[in-house]
Amino acid sequence: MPEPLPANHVAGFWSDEQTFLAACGAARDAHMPNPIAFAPWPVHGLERVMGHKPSWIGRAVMVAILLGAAGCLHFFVQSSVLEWPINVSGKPYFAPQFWVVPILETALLAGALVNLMACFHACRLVPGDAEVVDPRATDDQFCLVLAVDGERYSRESLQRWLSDHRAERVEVRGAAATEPTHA
Amino acid sequence: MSEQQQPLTAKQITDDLTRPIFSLPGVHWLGGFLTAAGISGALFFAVAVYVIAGYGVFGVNNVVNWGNDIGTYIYWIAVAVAGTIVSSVLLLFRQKWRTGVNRATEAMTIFAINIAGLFPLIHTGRPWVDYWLIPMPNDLGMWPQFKSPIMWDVFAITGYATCSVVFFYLGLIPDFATVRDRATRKWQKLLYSMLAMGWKGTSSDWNHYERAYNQFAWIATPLVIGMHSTIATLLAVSHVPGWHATVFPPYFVAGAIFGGLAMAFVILVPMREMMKLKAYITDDHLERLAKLLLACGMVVAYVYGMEFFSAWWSESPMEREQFWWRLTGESCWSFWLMAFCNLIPIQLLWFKSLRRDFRVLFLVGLLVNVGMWFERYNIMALSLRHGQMPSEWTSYAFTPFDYMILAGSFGMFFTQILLFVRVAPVVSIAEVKATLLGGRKHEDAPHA
Repeated sequence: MPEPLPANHVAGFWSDEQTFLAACGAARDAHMPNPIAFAPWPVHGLERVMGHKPSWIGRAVMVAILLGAAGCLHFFVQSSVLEWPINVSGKPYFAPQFWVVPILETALLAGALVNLMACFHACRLVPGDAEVVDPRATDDQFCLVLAVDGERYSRESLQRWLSDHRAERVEVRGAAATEPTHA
Repeated sequence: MSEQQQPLTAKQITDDLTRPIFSLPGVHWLGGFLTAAGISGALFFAVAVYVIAGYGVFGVNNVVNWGNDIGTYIYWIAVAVAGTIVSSVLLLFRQKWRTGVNRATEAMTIFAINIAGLFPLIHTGRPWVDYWLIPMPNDLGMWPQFKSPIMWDVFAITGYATCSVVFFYLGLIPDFATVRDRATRKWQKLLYSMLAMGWKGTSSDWNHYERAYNQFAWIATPLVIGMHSTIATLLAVSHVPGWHATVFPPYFVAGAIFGGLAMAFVILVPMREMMKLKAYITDDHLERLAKLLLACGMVVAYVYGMEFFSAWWSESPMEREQFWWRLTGESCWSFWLMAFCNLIPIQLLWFKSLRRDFRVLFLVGLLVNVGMWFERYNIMALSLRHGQMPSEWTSYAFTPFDYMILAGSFGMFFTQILLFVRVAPVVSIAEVKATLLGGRKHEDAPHA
């Protein structure tokens, strides 16, 4: 299932990519607990400022390609050499050179399928409705979600922090939205 | 639409690119769709007759046993190849301008390859046992002949078709999420929620997604080159004069990109004009595609010359006879039509003003498509008609059912294209935004 948003959180919205990027970096620098950034399009450098490690999908695909090639080679040996050996005039009627193309194609197909499945797994993609932070977060606005967590990260302090970082819109969500303010 | 000069905003891009999905189809679309769907009915009718009456309904004979169906199959495979080349190779080379055209060419790939896949299945003569092509355990303990390039082709087409579909779909996921979050009708909300797979667009999602998307380009590129080389090898390993040439694999790949790019113009130009997408599929995009078309066309021209040179240089009487007969024989019209359509119109593209004229590009695209279909017809029918043995020399003519499957394949292709423009953004929304909005500040943006 997709990762749920924090039950109580404050969301800030930006239209400008650079201001949003700076706010994300500042949230990480301020050691905010698990800030979540949403972008309607891929933003260069966002993964770095959010502290994401390089994706592991590349390694998964490499393993899949090797396994696909090994599996196909095993199949050819099994079907052409062991299970159904043909002997023509004292010579075996197979040549490993002829296996190269199907092995390549099968290996790449395995890589492609694992690439898709790994992406679905890593992005937690499953068919069905998503808990969308805001309809505009897939359209024209960037969003940073900060969890309300005790006194240090109270609703008011997070609202203030987001406004200080030039958020164009700040919304309080969850139970925090109905609590009386302490300001 | 955003034809004004001021910079596009993200909202405006979404508005422009999702408008066809949320609005009712116009008269032009309905007319085009009904016409294309009607023509595609001819394919289904011909196939139905063939299943009942047998393979004799087509014009092939004992000598020309690969005719319209295999020629048309190679034609459609070639169209599919160019779509992947535009999408994957340009992505690998970090060409930002691909964002305007990659979605349409990827769609072209998917629709062309599913049509191409039909033809070998028809060609087997008994399509109800086509599953025998798939290597699987059976009571007889027999396997398909893996020494044959035909079997390699089964692997190549299956792998390529699967990879193209998942590549296309992966690229659509963020756009489906945009459509999902804009949809107001319940059925659209439900449909696009399923298609978007719960995409939210977090920084972590984009981190994994971009890696996966770029990897697809790495996977698809060798796959597509390998696939068309395999088809060429299928011919080149035979002894038929006109086929038996080592130049075939690169020749087929260049020819495929050439023909596919021409088809891209046939699709993109009307799409751009009718859907008012000039801000996204710009004259610059078309001009760059035209340069690619010209470059591939010149490679094809060189190979045409080399084929004749090789036939002469080989000192093989049958090779020389084959190529002389192509030039002067009773079917020379199809050779000269191919040469004219493939070599003459592209010369217009040396001129910048003509490369930026969408009417010229559309016309060149149409003519090159005619030429490329005749190229495959010539390779198949003319080579087989005039083979090694003079006693085998024969004629080959289309039957009405050949015309039906040929026309029907085009109808089916355009039917799918017209459906596609109503259900998915024809230009990648996320990529265009990253390029036009993000790209202004980050010239080295990885997705741009």
